[in-house]
Formats: sequence, C-alpha cells, structure tokens
Amino acid sequence: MRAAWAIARNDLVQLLAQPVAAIVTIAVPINFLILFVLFAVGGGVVPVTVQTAGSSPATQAFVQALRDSSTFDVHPVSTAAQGAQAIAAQNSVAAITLPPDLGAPRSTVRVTIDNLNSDFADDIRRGLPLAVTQFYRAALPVQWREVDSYPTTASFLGFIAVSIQTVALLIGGLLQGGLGVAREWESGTIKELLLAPVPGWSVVVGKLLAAFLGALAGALLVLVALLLLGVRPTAWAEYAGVLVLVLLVFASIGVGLGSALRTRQTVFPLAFGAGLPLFFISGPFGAITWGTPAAAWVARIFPVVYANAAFQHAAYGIWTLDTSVGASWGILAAWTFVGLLAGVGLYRRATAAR
Amino acid sequence: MSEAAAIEVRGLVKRFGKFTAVDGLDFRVERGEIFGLLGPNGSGKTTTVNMISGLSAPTAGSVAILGVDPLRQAQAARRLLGVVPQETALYEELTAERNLLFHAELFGIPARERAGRVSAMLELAQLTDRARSRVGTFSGGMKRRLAIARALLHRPSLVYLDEPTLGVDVQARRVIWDYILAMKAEGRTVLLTTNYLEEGERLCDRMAIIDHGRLVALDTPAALKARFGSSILELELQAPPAADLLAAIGALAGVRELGADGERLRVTLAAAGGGDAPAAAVPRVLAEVSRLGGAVRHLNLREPSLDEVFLGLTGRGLRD
Repeated sequence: MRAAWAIARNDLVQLLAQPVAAIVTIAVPINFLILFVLFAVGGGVVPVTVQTAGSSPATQAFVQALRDSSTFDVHPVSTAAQGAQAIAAQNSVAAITLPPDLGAPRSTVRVTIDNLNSDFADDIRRGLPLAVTQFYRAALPVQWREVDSYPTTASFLGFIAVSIQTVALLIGGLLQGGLGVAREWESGTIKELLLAPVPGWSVVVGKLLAAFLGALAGALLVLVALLLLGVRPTAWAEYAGVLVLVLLVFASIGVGLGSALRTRQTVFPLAFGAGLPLFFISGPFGAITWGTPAAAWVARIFPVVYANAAFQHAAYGIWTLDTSVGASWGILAAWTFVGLLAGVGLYRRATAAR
Repeated sequence: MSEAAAIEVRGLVKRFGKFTAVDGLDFRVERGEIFGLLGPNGSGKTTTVNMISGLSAPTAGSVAILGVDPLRQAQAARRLLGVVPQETALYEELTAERNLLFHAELFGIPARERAGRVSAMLELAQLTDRARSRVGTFSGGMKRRLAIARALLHRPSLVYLDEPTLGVDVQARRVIWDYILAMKAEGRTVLLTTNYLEEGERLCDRMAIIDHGRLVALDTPAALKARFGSSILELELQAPPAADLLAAIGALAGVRELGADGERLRVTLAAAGGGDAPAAAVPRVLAEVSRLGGAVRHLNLREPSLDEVFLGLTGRGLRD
C-alpha cells in the first residue's frame, strides 16, 4: 500500500498542477444543474394571455382553473389586439379569450395558438380542456379522489437535481480514472511505474485511489450545490453508500479505459460519448418505464439507472424502479466488482511483459 | 563459483508474429564496464533492452542481470536497475524535486533519507536552483540530467541509458558523458544504446554491433576499428592525376578503393585485419605518384571511423 499511496498522491499533485480534468469533472455536472434549473423553472408552464370580459365570479373561477392546471403562466390582457401582439412578439404561446356569457350553456372560450411546434401547441390543446373540466368539476356526474403513493411529492427540480449527483460520479470517475492512466502512457512515465519494484496491483490501487479522491472532491461540490438548491437527503448513510459504490464503479472503468486507450484525447470523447447518453436514458427525469421500452431495457443493463434510483431513495424515500431496493443494491455491488475486475484486468493486459 | 555477470544474455530471441526482432543474441556484460549496444533504428536494440529490463518476455533464450531473472524476480531486478529512457519519462507538470521524491517513494527509500538523497541528486544534476521549477520549463539537456539523477537515486548497480545524448546540444552532451564516466568510476555497470559512434567510441569499454536482431560484432572500439575498419589516405596533387596514375595506384597491394575529384585522391586502404597493415601501403602509393610524374601538395592519413566499421559490417549506414 506504500507504493499505492505514493502513486495516488503523485496523481493528485498532478491534478492540482494541471486541473483541466478537475475543472471538467465539476463543470459538466454544474452546467447540467444550471440547465435543469432553467428547464424546471422556465419550461414547466407555457405563457398565455387571457382576455376577460368583466370580472364576474365565473370569469374569476375560470382564470383560477387555468392557473391551477399547472400548464399555464397566465398574463391578463384587456383587448384581443394585446393578445395577438403578445403572440407576434413571441411573448405568449396562446391568446385565450373568455366570452361575456362564460358559464352559460354552449358558451365558447376562443383560443389562438402560436403553433410553431407541436410540443407547446399540444400543451395548450391538453391544458385548456383540463381547465374547462376543472371549471365544471362540481357539476360533473363523475368525481375523482387522489391517493398519493408517497407522503410528499418531490419538486420536479428537486427530482432531476438529484440525478446530477450521478452525472458528477459518472463523468468524474471515468475522466479521473481514464486520464490518470492515459497520461502515463502519453508522457512515457508509465516506464517509471513499470520499472519500479512495486507490484502491478499497487499501481492500479494508487490510480484508483487518486481517481476516487479527485472525483469525490467534484461530487462533494455538486452535493453542496444540491443542498443550496434545497435538496435534503433523508438517508445520509444510504446516500454516502451509493456515492462510494458508484464512484468505485466508474473510477475502475476509467482506469481500464485509460489502460486500453492510452491517450487522453480518446478517453475524453468516450467518457462523454458513452456516459451522457447512458445518463439520459437512465431515468433522470422520471421512472425509466415511463419512457420507451427499448431505452429502458438498455438502461437496466448499466449501473447508472440503479444509481439514480438509489439517490432518489436516499434523498426522498421514493423508489423509481421495478427492481427492488435490495436487488438494485446487489446490482450496484456486482457492477463495482465488475468495474474493479475490468480496471485491474485491462491494466495488467496493457502492461504485461509480452 | 564465479561472480555473476552484470548482464548475461543467452540465445535471446524475440518474435512479433512472423517478424523476428531479436534473433539468437548472446553476450555478457562484465561488472563495472560501460557496454554499448550499437545499431540502426529497427536493429533490435530497444527490444533487447526491454527484455533485459523485464518489460518484454523473450520468445526464447534467457537474460540475467547480476544473476537475477528480470521476469521471474522482477522486483529484485528492478531494484538493481536504474533506467534513463530516451524520452526521459519525467512528470512535466511537477517540479524536479517532486519527480525525484516520487521515485524515492516508489523505490522504498526510507523517509528519513529521502530529502538528503534528492538534494544530493539535484546537486549532481546541477539543478539545485531549479528544484522547485516545473520540469516542463526545462531544456532537453536539463531534463536528461534530471532523468540521470533519478535513475541513480536508488543507487542501482546497473544503469541503462537509452540514447542518452539524442537531441541535446554539444555542451550538454559533454556533461552527460562525464556523468556516465563517473558512474563507471563509482563501480556501476553501464549499458547504453546509441546511434552516435563517437559516443560509443568515447565511452564504451566494449560495444556490440547489432543488425537485423543479430550480433554482428562485439569488441572494444579500437579492436573493432582495427579488425573491420579501413584507413583513408587523402592526397592533394599539384595537378589532376592522369588515367595511368589512377590505374597504377588502384592496382597496388593494400589499396581497396580509389576515388578522384580534380586534384584530390581518396585512397581506401585495406583493413588491418585483412593482412597487410594499412600504413605499409602509404609509401607504395607515394612512390607510384612520384614514378608517374605526380607531385603531392598535401597528404592526410585518417584512422577508420566506427561509421565505416559499421558500414563495412552491415553494408549500410547507422542512420539508414
């Protein structure tokens, strides 16, 4: 272990001396977090103008129904021209005009949609009938009652923010592990390690330790950002356990990648090219079973989906997978073992005397 | 029982698929000598040294350094060996001092001794004032000195230098040569590979010439030149030589080759190993010039160079 620690320390000193990998490791998840915040804050509801004829109780109730629909960001206007102007200026997706006889039989709510694309147009097409239904809810012959699976509902931002922790570990582990080894090949310093009187495993352990600590620093910074956003894990031990396991998986795979590829310019694109799509199909926005079956099937093979689910569990006590908690932990542990085997195996293969 | 050789190579073969990089090498390097491996690029030098240092496994044959098998007793062998790779293999982002400290840690030098050893090696490399500078800011010569200091840090018995002066200026080359000679004076065995014949001649007690993975010759530089080299007699005449003079000189015993360029004549004399001593041919050439009415304005008898030895042995130049 003496040699392993020396190698790890040397790598960490290099990381501080040339912090490109460290900066990327932190910058990518933080950028994602900023994007997700913008997405959650700005992309959840669509801006619409609502022109009312007077302020009758029916009109006020309908505007409230629009606001309660979780679809519309309502901007009241006085005239139809103002509504049209807002659409023309791209300040509004639709102009809704409430009739003076709102609530009377056969009264018609007129809506002009800025149908630039189907996404926002369909939001209006879905949201407005829901608001009408809500408006007439008391008169409907059928009622509904909500029963929640969980005592609290995580905010969408809170939900997707937690998955940023997985990105930090995924990118951080792969890059720190991969670049740490590839750098030795590129600079020829691998000879210094190969010609030292130390066993091969100690080199792998040293590299792994350095990658783990380097990526852990980035992951902890991301955790601080999550805490600032209001995410409060309810099970800290579970959170720490997932973090350690997932980091070990990706740092080990990173060491293997670095040994196999031997150049930093191939490690970089592979870490991003393989890591990010994997992340996006692995349930950062909801349960994977809510998406396409093929993507869910692929996601189940890799550890990212189990990491996302376990982080959500540790943060909010919710479970987003159809695999049980225990089985998911087992899969994460198995991936840790596979990652370590891959890291050690690929390094040994790359450095074997042939 | 006799003391183990510094390096003993027996029947060494290395194949990569159908390509044979090293083809049955046998040589022995004695303790305390500077031994040169000479050969053009692709001759099998690096492959040979990789097998000596345990980085590569022989297809056949055996290697031992100071009686230790570098593959089976890898850690023991590595402690005996100090390596100065051609590309120096230093951590460029780190300081000179940090590079040496890391090496000391890897080689298990006790913590209490590290600072002193590192300081001494920086002193040796004349880099004490740049100890805290990043290696990336160093010149090629400084990096080479630091790499040598690093190789000596753990007090190896055998030091291997791969093309130690490749790409460094003349002044740095002299300094590095002095280091190598100092290693020998301290009792270390030095193995070096080089493309520079002058370097081999200046430093090596013995040299092995390798071509196409085979040992072509092995001896002291002087013996190699004597056996395989040809002295060159350069003459400058008062007037361009006539055809009959050229024919007469060319027919003389001991003359191997003749070239003419205006008033200049270049007479390649037969190698010493070929029978008649080269110097014996010189009076005969001069007498022939005089007999056929020529007059010598300038004369130079030059020793054979190792380049010419190599050319004679392999039929090609070192940097072909």
